[in-house]
Amino acid sequence: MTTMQDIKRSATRMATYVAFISLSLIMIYIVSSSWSPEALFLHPLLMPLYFAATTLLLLIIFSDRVRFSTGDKLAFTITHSFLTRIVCLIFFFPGTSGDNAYHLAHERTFDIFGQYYAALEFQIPGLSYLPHIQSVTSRLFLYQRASIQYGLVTALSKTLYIDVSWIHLFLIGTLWSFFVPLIGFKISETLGASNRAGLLTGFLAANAPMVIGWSTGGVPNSLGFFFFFVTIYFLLKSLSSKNVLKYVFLTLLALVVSLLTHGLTAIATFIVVLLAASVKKYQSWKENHQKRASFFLVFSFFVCVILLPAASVLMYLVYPTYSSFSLQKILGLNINYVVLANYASYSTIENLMYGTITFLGIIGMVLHSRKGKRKSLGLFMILALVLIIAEYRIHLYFATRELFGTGRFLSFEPFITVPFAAIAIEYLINTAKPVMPTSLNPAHAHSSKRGILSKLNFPSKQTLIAILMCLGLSALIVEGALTLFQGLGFGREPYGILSVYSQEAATLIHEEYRRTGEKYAVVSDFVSETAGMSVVGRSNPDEYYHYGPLNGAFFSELLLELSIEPLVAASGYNDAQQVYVILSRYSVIRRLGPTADVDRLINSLSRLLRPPLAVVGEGWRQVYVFSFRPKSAQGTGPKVTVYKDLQETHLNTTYSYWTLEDVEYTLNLTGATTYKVTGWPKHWSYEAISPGPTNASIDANVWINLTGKPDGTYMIKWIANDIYSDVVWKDDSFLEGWNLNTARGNYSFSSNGDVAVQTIGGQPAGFVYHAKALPLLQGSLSFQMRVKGASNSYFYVLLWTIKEGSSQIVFNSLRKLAPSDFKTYTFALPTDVVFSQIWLSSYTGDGSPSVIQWDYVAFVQGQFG
Amino acid sequence: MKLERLEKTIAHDRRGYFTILALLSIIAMLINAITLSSPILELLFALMYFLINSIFCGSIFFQEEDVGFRIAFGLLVLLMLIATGSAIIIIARALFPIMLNMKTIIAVLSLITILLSVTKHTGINAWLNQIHKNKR
Repeated sequence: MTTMQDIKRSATRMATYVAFISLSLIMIYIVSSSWSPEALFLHPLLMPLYFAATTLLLLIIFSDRVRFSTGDKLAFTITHSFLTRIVCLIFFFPGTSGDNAYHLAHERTFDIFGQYYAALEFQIPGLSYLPHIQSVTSRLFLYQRASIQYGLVTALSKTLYIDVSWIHLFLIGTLWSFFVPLIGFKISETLGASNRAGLLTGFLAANAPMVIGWSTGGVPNSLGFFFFFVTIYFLLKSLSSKNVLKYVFLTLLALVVSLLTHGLTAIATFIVVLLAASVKKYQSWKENHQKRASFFLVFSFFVCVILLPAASVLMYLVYPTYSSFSLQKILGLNINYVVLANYASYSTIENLMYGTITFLGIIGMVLHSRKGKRKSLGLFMILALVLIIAEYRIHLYFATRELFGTGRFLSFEPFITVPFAAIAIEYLINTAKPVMPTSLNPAHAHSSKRGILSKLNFPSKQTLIAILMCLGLSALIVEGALTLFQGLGFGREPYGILSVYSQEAATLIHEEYRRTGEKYAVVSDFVSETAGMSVVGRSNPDEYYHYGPLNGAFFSELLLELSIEPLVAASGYNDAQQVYVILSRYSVIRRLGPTADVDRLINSLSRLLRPPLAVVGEGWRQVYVFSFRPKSAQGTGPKVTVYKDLQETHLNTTYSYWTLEDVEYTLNLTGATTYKVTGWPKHWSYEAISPGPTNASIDANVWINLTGKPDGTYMIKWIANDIYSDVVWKDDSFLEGWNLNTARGNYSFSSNGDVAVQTIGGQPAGFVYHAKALPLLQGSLSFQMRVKGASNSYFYVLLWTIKEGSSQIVFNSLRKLAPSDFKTYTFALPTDVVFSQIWLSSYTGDGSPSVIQWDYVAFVQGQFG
Repeated sequence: MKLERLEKTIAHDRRGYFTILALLSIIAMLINAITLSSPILELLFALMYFLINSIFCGSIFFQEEDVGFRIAFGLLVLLMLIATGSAIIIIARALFPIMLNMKTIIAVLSLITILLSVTKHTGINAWLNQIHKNKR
């Protein structure tokens, strides 16, 4: 018969279910509705609600009043675990940039090509020397890296018919959310703890601040941590269960999986398995040979400790990488840092956040060892914790070159300490429980003081401690999540996540490829680089995204030099017919500094290449897609006037170029002995006559006179930047109007009609200025100069205006080290001034001769540079 | 209770019907991927495969656990086996030209089903359990 109490109880249960599910759904709604592709945003209600949901879960775990079964409570724990991951995944959607995106790119490569990206590099002619895949050993080593993650994601994607990117995004989160609470619960049960401690273990293992960041990222290291936890469970079972063979098999399977997942977790799992085997042996010898058993255990522990550093040092035997250790490092460390390690650099809140579970875990270990139950398991766990701390400290004190980040060792800690922290919390709550529910002394029970307390319904000591525990642990978990959002998200804005806009741009290019079938290469900012590879795969021979330092160099050169040369070079790697540039607004600031004018750069690129093929999105993550066809063009150029033995004629020139910024015009002369060439476009710059004539006199601004053999053929060559063809004023000869202004040291200035040579020397910090009056230039102009110089030679240019009767500098190119080959510099000029004078300067720092060769200086219409 | 009965029926796998069903679901997955390309059908066949094999794994390795844990941990071991199989194909590429594609993945899935079924039906599992009982 249903009593009133039953109804009340089921109503409370129902209310708890409704409250928890409502909180979860509201949180998911809030985080998804506040997500934007333009910038990360943390809704102010999100964390308070997460705190409430976490507190409610802990109250459910701690409370005995609401009769939930352990299964129900475990379901709540798993739901909360999923909630944490879902919130993080939506917040960081479509995933964090960097490593996470690289691994998605690798998985996409498997999805498309069925093989590791490095295997495809053989098909890219530009990547001719690939030492990391030359030998079978290095190939085996390379291909095994993260093969578990790549294999699992590809297999699940193919079998479930879901796109690789979704499987990649959800795999770790799903495994973590579902299995970590279950395994935590079973580990606790294996250690002999109560169900409540088991539930707490599951909750803390899934959400501990030290590991929460790993639980959402699609990187092999995350999967490695997960399998480390799985291995710990199987090890504990193989140490305690009678069904040893099965658990040994499962342990070995987990070990193999760990070995093929990530280097760090692989070695860590291996040494923990070795330690467990030693503990098992120790237990069997302990009864009869105490000393021998103890010595064996100490020796085994030492071997386990030394194994990881040794393996990382010897890594070079199979792959061109290694780590190194030195005693010198510890001598340079602060004593505080040596003693407290990571805790020395934490703030108080961080110390509480990261230290609480470890502290409680150590207390729990003491409590567990006092119980006398399953001591060998406790011994193994204690040694495992000491082992992890020892590895961390060894790397902290001695590693001068690390294979893995030292801080990552700390992420192993919670998997070992959490079950014991739960035991300690359980102990705290239980000790607060009154020994007897009611006093045996009736007089005492009815004392006025107790009566008042019971009337006021003041919470008992145990309830108070439980509530404080709930609030404290909730705060700890929420702070962990906040730190994750801050560190991985806001701390890296606006490139904290894999930009949706970059992915859209990559998809557009891919669709263009599917339409035209033209091979292409892409030079891009570092987020678009991985975004693109996540769409078409890494090292795709037909749709090749340049990556890593090479892409960075191409991208920087393009932005800094505004030159098409890096794009031509980029096309050579896979013989691309098209080169695309994907550029996000923030990447310009990141490369050129906070004062860079993004719009001006976009304009310059639009002139240099063509107007953008597509502009995707808004805000700082807005992406521009430019295209460029790196094809060498040849043809007939404009006519120039030639006087052959004083006979006027007009001859065609020919042109050839890879890029419009570097066009070569040539004129062939034959059939006469004297030639006078004139009338070429103003933006051409005379370069050379070949073969050398008998006699030549040149004013590169106006004419070229030469005398040659009657049967000889002479070729005159000009170079031109056809992008900046609207020349307002130019001096290509430096023959007239240049006067010395100021000098300190020994100077000279001479011109052969084409190139002016300006020198200074003899005095440290010596300089010379040669000035020329300008025909009052004004408007939207850019200044260009083509210069080279001897080593350690510096140059700069000043432009002057006359304002209110006095001269003022209105442009300073700033001092530059001269390049060894001619290089063209372009600068946008201020628009509201009239330029009246130009000064060319050569500078020497140490007094040794500084030799600068000026090919031309020019003012062109438009704002470039 | 229903879950327990279902799990027991599949785990027992009398006359190997569920082994055949798991293998058929693999073939259906392959046919669907080549011809129909229906995501719903693919998901359905995949779920069938995962359910049967998770129960097989659970019944082999986690007999002493409750039914829920048995299926959950069975799924975990199954995922580990699939991951290991796929990883072996990836690594083997260093030695000879093999690809991780639908066909090789299907081969891995089939092999896992056959191995689990053989372990269940040839008495290896019973032998392991016997060792377990004797030790008790």
